[in-house]
Amino acid sequence: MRKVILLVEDNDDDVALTHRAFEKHRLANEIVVATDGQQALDFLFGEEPLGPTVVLLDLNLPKLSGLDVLRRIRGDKRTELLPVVVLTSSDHDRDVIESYRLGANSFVRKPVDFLEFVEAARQLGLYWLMLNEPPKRRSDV
Amino acid sequence: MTLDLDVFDRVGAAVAVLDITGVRAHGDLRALRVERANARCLALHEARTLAELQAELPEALADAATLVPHLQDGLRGGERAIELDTTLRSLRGTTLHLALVLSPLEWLGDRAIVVLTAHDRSRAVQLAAELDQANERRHVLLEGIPDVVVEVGADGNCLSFAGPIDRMQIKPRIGTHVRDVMPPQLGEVVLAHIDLVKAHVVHAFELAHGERWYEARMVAAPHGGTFTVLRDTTERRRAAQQLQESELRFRIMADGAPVLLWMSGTDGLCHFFNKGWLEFTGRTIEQEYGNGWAEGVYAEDFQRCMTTYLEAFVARVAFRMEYRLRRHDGQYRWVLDTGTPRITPDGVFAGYIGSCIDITELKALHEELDQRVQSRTVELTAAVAELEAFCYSISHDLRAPLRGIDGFSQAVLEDCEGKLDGRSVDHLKRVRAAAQRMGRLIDDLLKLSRFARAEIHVREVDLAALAQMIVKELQDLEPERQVRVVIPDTLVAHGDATLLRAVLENLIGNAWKFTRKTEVPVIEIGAETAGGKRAYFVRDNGVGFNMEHAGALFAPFQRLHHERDFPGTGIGLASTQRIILRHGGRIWVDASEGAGACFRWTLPGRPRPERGDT
Repeated sequence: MRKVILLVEDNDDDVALTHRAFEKHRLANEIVVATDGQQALDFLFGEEPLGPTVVLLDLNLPKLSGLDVLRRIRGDKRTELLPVVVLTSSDHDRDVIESYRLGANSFVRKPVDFLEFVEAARQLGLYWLMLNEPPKRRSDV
Repeated sequence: MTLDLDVFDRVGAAVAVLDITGVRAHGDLRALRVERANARCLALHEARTLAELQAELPEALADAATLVPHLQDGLRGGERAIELDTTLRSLRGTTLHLALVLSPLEWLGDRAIVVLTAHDRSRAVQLAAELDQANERRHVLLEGIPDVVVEVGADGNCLSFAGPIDRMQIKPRIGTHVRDVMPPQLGEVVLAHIDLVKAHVVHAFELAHGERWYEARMVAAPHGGTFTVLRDTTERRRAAQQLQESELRFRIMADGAPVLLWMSGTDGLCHFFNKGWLEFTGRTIEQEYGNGWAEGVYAEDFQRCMTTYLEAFVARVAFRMEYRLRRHDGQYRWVLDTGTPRITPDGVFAGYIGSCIDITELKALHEELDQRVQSRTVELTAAVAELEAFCYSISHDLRAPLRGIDGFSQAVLEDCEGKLDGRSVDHLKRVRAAAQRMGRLIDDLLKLSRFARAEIHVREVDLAALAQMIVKELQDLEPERQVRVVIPDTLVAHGDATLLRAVLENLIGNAWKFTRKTEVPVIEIGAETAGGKRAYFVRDNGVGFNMEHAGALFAPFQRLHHERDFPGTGIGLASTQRIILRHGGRIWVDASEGAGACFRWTLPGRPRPERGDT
């Protein structure tokens, strides 16, 4: 099965670094990038739904915030069980709590040290792409 | 010798002719014989016939023993008449008080023919007895009253005295002129008033005698003289004077007080207002009397005001109320009225006393302050929200570029491995180190602002348990280090657990860090009481520092050591101090270069003394 990661991130640098970190471990067949919240929703609920294995979601996004995107994902039957990892610069208590309340599966703060980030990416990929048994999609049943 | 004795009946005299013999021989009246007696004489003796009188009279007269010696004397000296008052019993047993006159007609040796005239004195005797009793009663009565009474006759001589006359130096000399029995001054005053008494019947005046005061009442007596009654009024006068003085004092105080005073009686009506009140309302006391004052109360406040007052009045409890009262210039001013029940020394409720102060300015100030606090709170809330937003964006926006700097530097290092010379590799590593350091600075700054804003939930916290945990974490990170750590079994403090943990993390972390180069490192955590205040401490024997540089120790980014020797951001102590200050406590440090440092801090609240700590 083709494993797609949907990375919702508006910062080019962070996109490039995330690519690099995942590439290092050859974890992803494909990383699709949405640069704002609306685009992320289009990928998920558009004419050709992307059906990613996991969503890496930044919170601080233009147009539609990360938390709004998360709310929509959880509010839709098609994606309510989709693993979502909040990946953000913030470790603000409010963001952490609100993310978990809205149904985030994990909350990861992006470290400044790239090597630490690479390690985090490795663990994330290992867990969500390799070990985790994703729920069967309704259309597959 | 014939004499019609019945003639005497008409003049009311009892008459008998007696033949008395042998008085000298026998010494009694056994041989007395009644020759004749008139009807009144029979009636007096309650005898029906002369024979009856004859039978009884000698014995009855014999009872009048005084008669015998008189008769004996009479027979001896031939006296013309014997008069005496005596008693004798009648035939029916009644006692007769008689005035007897024995007029001898003939003296014949031991025999005398005598005319006996008898007047019934019973009524006179009874009156005399009554008079005696009346006099006795008067005497007792006069002795019983605390007044001095001097009875003076028309001629100015004293007739009687009563009461404590010694106290006034009056000599109780009956028959002596009033001027001679009284001390000179007193006597003159009394004499001077005697004429007035005659005109007024009763004449009263006050007079001073010695150091005491008397009220004199002089009454005209029926005998043309006077009764002078002297009553000691010194105590009464003194009490009245004291009352007057205290009343005066009260007035002066009441009128001088810069408040509005009022007093009411048991009827709830006001009967006193001080000068302050009257000047304030510009009304007369007559207008304010009773419930008049209530006319000045603002209509809207009137009902509430009266209800409070009357309810308190019924319950007899103190009250406080605020209402608007019209000032002399027509302006309504807010006053605070405090009323207290008046209780006399005997515990009797006597009404209320109250005072009012003008609180218009105070109230306005209060309202203004309230408003100011409200608007400041709004401003502060906005500022805090802004700060929060600022911090949020710092954590996001400042850290993102750092990730780029670090990440791409690492990318270059990885991608160009072997193509870069040692110098360039070192530079790139420095770029990364600098970026990471800035990341830490940002994180610490965020922590500092978070500590400044965090809500504080005070509860009992065991600092000893927290310290144990922190030391274990430090030991786990550097298992090779050997540090002797002294922590009491328990160390109770009152504060926010999360924030106090941050304090200990900082202080113990510092102690851990700065004892790195010490041969036998020791860190001690505990509490001590100094100057009545309990201070907690973290003490180490590390590098310490010169106290000259301690001034700015608690300011952010202040460091006393080189980063190379002891890495750190310089924000830990600033955070620590902020937390302690937010708890209402204080933190200070004692240190010396090369001999370690001791941080002490206080936390308010009332931590209970614990076993095991000093």
